[in-house]
Amino acid sequence: MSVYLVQALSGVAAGSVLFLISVGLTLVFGLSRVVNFAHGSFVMVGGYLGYTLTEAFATGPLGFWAAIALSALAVGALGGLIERTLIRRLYGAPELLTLLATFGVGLILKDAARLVWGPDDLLGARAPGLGGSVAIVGTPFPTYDLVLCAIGPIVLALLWLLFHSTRFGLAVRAATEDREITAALGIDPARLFTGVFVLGATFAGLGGALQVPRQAITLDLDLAWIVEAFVVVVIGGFGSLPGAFLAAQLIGQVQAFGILIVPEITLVGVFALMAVVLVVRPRGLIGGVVVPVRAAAASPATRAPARAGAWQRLGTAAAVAGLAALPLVADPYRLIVVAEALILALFAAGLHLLVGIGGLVSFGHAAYFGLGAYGAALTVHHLGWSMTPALVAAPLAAAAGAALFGAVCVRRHGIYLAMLTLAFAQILWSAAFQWTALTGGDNGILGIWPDGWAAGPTGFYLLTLAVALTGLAVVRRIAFSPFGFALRAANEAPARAAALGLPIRALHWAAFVIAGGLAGLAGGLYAFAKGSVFPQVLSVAVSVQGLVIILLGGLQALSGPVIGAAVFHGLETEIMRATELWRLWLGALILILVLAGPGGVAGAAGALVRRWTGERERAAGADRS
Amino acid sequence: MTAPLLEVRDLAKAFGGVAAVDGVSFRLDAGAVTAVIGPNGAGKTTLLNLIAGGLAPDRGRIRLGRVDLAGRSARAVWRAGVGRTFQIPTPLASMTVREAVQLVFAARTLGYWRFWQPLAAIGHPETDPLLGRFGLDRLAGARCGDLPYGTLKRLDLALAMAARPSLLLLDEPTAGLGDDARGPLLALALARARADGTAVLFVEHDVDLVFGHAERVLVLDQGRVIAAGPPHQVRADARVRAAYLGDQAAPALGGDHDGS
Amino acid sequence: MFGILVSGILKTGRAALGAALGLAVLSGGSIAGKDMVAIAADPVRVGEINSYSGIPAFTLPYRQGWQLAVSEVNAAGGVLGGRPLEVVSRDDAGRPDVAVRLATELITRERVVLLAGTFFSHVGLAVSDVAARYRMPFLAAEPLSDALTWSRGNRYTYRLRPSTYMQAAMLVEEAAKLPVTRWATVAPNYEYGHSAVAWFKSLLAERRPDATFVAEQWPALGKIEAGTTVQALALAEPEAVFNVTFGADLARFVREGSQRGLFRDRPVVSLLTGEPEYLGPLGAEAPEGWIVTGYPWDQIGTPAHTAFRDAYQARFGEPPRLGSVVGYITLAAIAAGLDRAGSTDAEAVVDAFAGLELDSPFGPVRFRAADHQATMGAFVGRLAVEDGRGRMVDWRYADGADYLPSADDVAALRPASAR
Repeated sequence: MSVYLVQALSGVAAGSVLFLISVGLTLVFGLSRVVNFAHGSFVMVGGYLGYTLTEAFATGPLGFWAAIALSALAVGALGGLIERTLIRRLYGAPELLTLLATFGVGLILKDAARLVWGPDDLLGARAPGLGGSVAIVGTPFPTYDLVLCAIGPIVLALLWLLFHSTRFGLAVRAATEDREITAALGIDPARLFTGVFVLGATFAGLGGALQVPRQAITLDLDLAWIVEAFVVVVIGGFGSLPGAFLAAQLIGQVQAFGILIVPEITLVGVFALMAVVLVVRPRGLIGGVVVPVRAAAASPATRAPARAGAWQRLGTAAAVAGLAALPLVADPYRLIVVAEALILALFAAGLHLLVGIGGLVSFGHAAYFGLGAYGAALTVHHLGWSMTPALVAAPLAAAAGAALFGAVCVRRHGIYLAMLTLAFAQILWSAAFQWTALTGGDNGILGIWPDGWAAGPTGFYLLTLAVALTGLAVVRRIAFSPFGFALRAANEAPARAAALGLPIRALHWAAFVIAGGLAGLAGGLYAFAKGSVFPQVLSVAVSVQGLVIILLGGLQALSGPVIGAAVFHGLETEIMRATELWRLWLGALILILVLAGPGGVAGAAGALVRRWTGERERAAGADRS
Repeated sequence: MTAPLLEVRDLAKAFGGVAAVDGVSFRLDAGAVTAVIGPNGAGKTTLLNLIAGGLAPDRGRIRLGRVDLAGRSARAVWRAGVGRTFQIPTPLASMTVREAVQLVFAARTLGYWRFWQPLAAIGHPETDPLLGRFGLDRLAGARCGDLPYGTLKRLDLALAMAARPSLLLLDEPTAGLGDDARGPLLALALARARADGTAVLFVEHDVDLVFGHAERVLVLDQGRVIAAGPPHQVRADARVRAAYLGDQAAPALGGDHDGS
Repeated sequence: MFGILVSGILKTGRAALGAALGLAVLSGGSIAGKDMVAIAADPVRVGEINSYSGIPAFTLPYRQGWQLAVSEVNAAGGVLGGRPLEVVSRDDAGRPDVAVRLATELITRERVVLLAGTFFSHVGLAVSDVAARYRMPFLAAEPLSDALTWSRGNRYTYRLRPSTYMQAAMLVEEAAKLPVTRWATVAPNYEYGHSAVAWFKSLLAERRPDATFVAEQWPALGKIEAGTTVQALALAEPEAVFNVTFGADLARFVREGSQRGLFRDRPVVSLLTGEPEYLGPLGAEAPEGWIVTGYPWDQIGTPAHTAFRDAYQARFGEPPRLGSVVGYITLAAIAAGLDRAGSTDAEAVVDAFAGLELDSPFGPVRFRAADHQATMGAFVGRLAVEDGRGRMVDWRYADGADYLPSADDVAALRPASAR
């Protein structure tokens, strides 16, 4: 029996740490709607600072705890700096843009940490006086974990006090519930936002620093924590403090006892839990704030999708001709790189339909890319199909998956929908990872090479070009079809659309299936481009990459995914070959892009063109703000 | 007596324990024009939203002809033949006026399940006449997101009436408009309704407009109907005067939006 | 380059043309393509790919190892009768898709005569598949997966480092001597962990039919919940533990395990833990008494190893790690293979590697013709803590040749096309 008690206590300790790490994410999101992808980086930096400071000062308990506190405060200061210089400029921008910016910050912080602390894992000292264990009904339990068990509730209580008995806290709560109210209360919202961001970063730093006595500090801590922190926030309900605590503790217990029953559950457990919670309680355990994710439509920069004028037609024709002629001048490697960019453009084009036109933000679009890649690879590997039927199977498999998951996802809105898509993608990822008999596990499926006339680089390039252009043309047709307009209506004016009898869920579901099918087609091509498929095609990184591409290119026009894919892939391949600090450079470039032109590269170009050509304002009064 | 177009019986809806609509019953005949008035928070917009669908009542029935609309989706209510406008219309920002109207006609025939043919190429013979009827023909190419507010409300009305509904719900049709634009807009709406034989139920703050245009007036207070009947009868009702018209010199009341 | 790209798009101004330009840039100039300047006339170019930004703690010592070997080879007159060896190196960031692209680039654009490198098994497998497709010799340096030389082996792929099977077999030899029967296993939840445990179980069962496995735990790689994992293992009351976790997971497992008394009176047999890469970060908390495979770099006194260690320390100012040795032998083997082939012809090089023998800091190494696996071994010993750091004691060198199945047995494991 005592063993189970200790197991439960271990779960509580794990939950406490998880709570510390997630609390900042949920508070910042609740107040400012900023999805801070760099939150995990704060944890990592906290860990490194904690290591350095405890090594320097921790001769006794006082020095140790002072070092931990100092680390937390330093990370808080770092958070403040980032908020003041970057995040502040992005309030009011669509969440996806802040997601992209903070993604860039995370890249930079990772390489910065590597430059400062080096690549080796750093194992710090145990906490002075707490390095041993105490017997709990005869079973030894680490003393330090007992401290952690206590820290979670203590922090919850302190924050509760802060939010219920200080002027600052009350203002934050009021502003979280109703953003308009801050002005009425005579509070400077900028200071609130900075304050909460610093607070969140401080606790992330604390969570990281508290890891020093438990584990080695590594460069992977950021990614290891950010996804779980998101899960906590979603399960608890966005912006809910007690929700985050409850969710963290729930995850701690589910993992503690889950591994006793099914040891392999470690990969999928939390995501399965998240999916169940979202299906049963759409707004989390303790209903969080209702948060529409604004992609493009709600942003003031909304323009109609670009319609082809004479210049655009000419430009498109020139681009297509140039691409078709590329094999005449480029060597095989260039063809491969451009083919990869075309595949990414196709992947992003579906996402453009879903996010840019439909306003449905998917954080898990990798699911359909991966289903396509595995769909093609499995038919080749297990059924012995050739390339052509496999490339037909790819989008069908992905569309079928999208039809299934989409049916659940479209019943939710905004950030909850986004998180549900993420959960499904993660579940598929762990299935690919663990179902070794079918997928080969992480060793993947090999030998998926193009055959017949497409076997050579030129043949495959032309095939990719043809398929990608067809896909792009299809998306363009759909964007201007009645369906495309209906989808846009449901995004821009949902109540109006419903009152006009548009079946919004069905439209969203159809968009899901189409975007999934296109992603699957891209995934199938990708499998043949690479010759192999690994679970990475289903990873969060692929989903984020898709979002980065459409944001980089701009959400307003179909040229967005194309330009975004070209720029992103071009940067990635060139920077990666030039420097091992490619994260630093990629992150910096993303930040410059976000700050310089929130409409993406295409948007920035378009704005300049409009200025230069002195485009006349439209007939009707455009001055309504 | 012929069967009424709309029959609402004992309709109730509470938000967090506060009754917004509390046992409302009334009837509406085909082609009739009825106004709903009442002080702020009386439940007027909630009543409209309950009829318009997407909001399930706690109890009660809403019968349109032989169809029960209570708790149905906005889409189902639209399909039953009800159109509505919004107090503050959200523009279909990226579309032109013509495209928005074309979309409505496409919606009527399930045409939104067409993925290939451009919307612009699917002409509908009623598009231009509708634009003309609502004075939007010269703005057909303008982007909805660029329209001035008054024009936007007119477009909202046109969209709501495009399918020639048997019942039109107007949620504060004149809210946010300047004094000189209010009368014409309501007059336009009622003229078109009359031409199509459409019954109208509208929520309105401007008492002059209400008593000038409505055939019947329904007065709500704290979620209940306190008076119903022809304008002159309602105007004379003592309870109405106490609860709503009160000491105020008749015209503009409230001024603010209905809070419910 | 980026500035040019942006201004290019801005100048044309039209989105479609912008897209065309973006793609055109991809097909145009390169900022890194020609970063290796030929050091002498007609060098022999070797393509090298590893996860330098993905897992730098392991791959940077590896790189220094091969850099040392290249210097030594070229100082001694190069290969193929006086041609210098030139390595064109790329970073795959730990991603198989990137590695595939880079492998293609090295083959088609850089005109390398051979590919080498990789750390992660899936990256190694992806590159081996490209090598087979382009008929390009590939010497996988560090990946451990058995699939690389067995179930998914191919004619063009060789592997240097002792595989999962070999390392498990070395440990089973020691585990079988222990007076215990009840085993628990803990391994990261991916292919390496699963196959290490599977081999350990089946090989131990051959030697000790009385062995039983009473618990297994599969923590997520890099995300072990060490406290609950340790407790779950303890619940089954095993007599001994087989550990496959490594890196940050290992550190947490060791800390929680010792605080919770999991290792008290329980022998632990642990893969790779004696390698300096993993032992170093544990510092004074290296778990004493664990039976491990590894590399006691400071205690090996053979002339070949001493010469290597001294040269390495003199050049890089730090002691070698296992990756350093692997990198060093990789390039030394490539030089030997090219000389044996007598040309840079791919088929000749592939044939030359079959049965290739060379001396290494670890002693003689031979590339088996049967399965393309090198006989490089590992050191098996116990962990002890001296002067605040862990080191291996009572160690011996386990020659890889003694822990590989016979040529007939592996022939059945390899696909027909690989022979």
